[in-house]
Amino acid sequence: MTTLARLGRPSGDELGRAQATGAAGKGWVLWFGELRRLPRELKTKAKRGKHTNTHTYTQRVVRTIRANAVALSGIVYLFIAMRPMILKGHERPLTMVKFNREGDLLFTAAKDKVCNVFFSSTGERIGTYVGHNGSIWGMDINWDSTRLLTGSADATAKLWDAASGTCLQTWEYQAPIRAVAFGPDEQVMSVSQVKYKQEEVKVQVSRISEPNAVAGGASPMEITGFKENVVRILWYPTGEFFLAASEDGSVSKYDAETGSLIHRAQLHTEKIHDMQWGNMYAHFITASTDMTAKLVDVRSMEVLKVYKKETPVYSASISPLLPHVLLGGGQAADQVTTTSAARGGFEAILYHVAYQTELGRVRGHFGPINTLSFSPNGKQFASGAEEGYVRLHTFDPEYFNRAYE
Amino acid sequence: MAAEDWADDEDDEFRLPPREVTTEANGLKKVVEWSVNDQHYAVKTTKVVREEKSSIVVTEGEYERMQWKKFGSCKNQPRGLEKGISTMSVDEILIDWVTPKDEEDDESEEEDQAKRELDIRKMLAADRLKRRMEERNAGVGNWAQLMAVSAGAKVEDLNPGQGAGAGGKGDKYIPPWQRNREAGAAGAGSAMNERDDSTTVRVSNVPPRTTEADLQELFSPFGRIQRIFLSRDRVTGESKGFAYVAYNLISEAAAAIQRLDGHGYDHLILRVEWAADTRGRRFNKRIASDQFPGYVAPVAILHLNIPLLFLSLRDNFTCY
Repeated sequence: MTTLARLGRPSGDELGRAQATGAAGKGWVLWFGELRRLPRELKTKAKRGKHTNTHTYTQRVVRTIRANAVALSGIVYLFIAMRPMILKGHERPLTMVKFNREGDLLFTAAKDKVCNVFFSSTGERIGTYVGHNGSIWGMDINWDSTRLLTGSADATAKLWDAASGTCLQTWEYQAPIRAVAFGPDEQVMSVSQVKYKQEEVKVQVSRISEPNAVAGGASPMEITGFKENVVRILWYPTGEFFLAASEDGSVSKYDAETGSLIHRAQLHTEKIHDMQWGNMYAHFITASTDMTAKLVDVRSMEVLKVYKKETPVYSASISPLLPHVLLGGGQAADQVTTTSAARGGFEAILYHVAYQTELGRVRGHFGPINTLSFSPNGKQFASGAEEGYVRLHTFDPEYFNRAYE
Repeated sequence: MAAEDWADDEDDEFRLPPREVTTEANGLKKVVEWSVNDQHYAVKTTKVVREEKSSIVVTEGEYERMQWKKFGSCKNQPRGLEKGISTMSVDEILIDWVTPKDEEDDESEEEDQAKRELDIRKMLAADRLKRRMEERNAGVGNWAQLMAVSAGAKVEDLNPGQGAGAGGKGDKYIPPWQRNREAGAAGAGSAMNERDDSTTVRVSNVPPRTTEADLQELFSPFGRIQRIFLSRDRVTGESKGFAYVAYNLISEAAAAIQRLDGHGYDHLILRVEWAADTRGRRFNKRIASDQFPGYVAPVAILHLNIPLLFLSLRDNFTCY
């Protein structure tokens, strides 16, 4: 009997045929290229159809095997339900993963000075952006995915041609750069400079076509008055204002024209690590070391929902498709070795956006998740962790068919 | 030149067959490929492939990006996944769903039942222990007597040997063997001392899970068993590792010793020996020589109970 492993899910038709030939029911299964009989205990469990908590895992295995073993004219296929792609493009902790607007590209940035870009459908790496001399802390992709903007600890920001990886422009600053963001018309960018020696925390808004003040160009609009580093900047799509999330736990709304502070909301008691837009730009979500993620209304800057976790939250993302919120985090990197991986809380946790209840967990990383993001179609998510791996998950049909109410 | 030709010839002779693709019925393709492995063996690989073509709708931008050539570190790499960069997870990662409570109830019912039963068992054990302590406090031998005491009867009437000893000396504790001596003669204690233990065997290294029934089964082939005593932990009810089995005849006990000493039972090896010898050596030599020069070692079981009794008395003081 020839065997063949195939990726993907069986269609209903195929499953029907499998049941007709009876291969799935008889407990034969192709397991990593080898044809094996199902262990007896698994079979009896499957027959009983009822499981106790201790055997939940076995039961789940059985369920998958039964669903996946399909016989077609003497060939047994194993359909693999949800096996994420592991992208090992970096050697140091990840700082940011970001899909482009259409979701076909996945950009990753890490402390190892390079950015990578992958096809999100296959996990194939297309290219790297090499040129920075320090950890890359922030990046942004423009609307039509032609330009990539990166900010690095080497006190420069760079603009790249996304398709070829060539650096088009470099801006120099006097302190490491933490967050970068394209303005809505892509002629403007904002850059946050961290506290460094005599330099105070600054957000600079400058025109992309011009070099900045340090390089002898026009003096950009400068915003000061932050207590701690600004870690994320989000532009409202109309260009009316932008949001700056600071490590002191506050999110500030600034007028993009004048640079004046419109509203500052103290959302968290500890560091904010991540801030992402929700669908339709009506809400944003912040992730903080104080073990919560908060969903905030953009207009009123009021906290609408709070998602609680047992460990610090380093990243949070809102599903564009279903009423879900995904939280990533874990024990602080310097304390990881003091506890077991199981207690580290390195799973990505799915919450219901309105009920704030935990729906499920996705295992995989063995270090804290530094950054994660839903793909724009909501069918995938990418997570990057302290251990240097990016995991690109594609949700299985159960995720979409489940009743969440 | 000739050598070269000869080498060429050999190459020709061992040239691997070409890749063969045959299309079978039901749309399957059979691909036969030949390759040479590390040990210089020719390997034939047969794959059965079903090709599926599906079309997806992409935006113009996406289509353009699909044509991108690789750049940066992966420049000049062929199309497809790079080895060592993009790998599929070996483990199947499914979402660990949090099941709502009402779904869970049905499944955990059995567990709840088991837990409840265990609780009841624990409660009963604690109850039994408490009752035994009360009995000891009151200085009576069993529950029926305790009931009688609480109903108004005097302890001495019920248990003349022990009662007289304890009552006569007031608060001072007197060990059972001394009580017997002071009482002067044939009280309850000495009656027990008369028990003959020449037919008793001591079994040690008994596995913790063993019960009296197990011992009965194990020892009954050698003769009719008079009595079995299995020492148990008071709290857990598990065996403490030794037991006494009394037969009617010495010959039966001897047979048991002969057959079962060194016999593997569960995961341990049993040790079976004469009860009298061991007990005399271990527990009573000192007591006997100190206090009664002409002492004849009594039945082992009684003396094994002595340390237990001390323990329980101390417990009583701390508990109540």
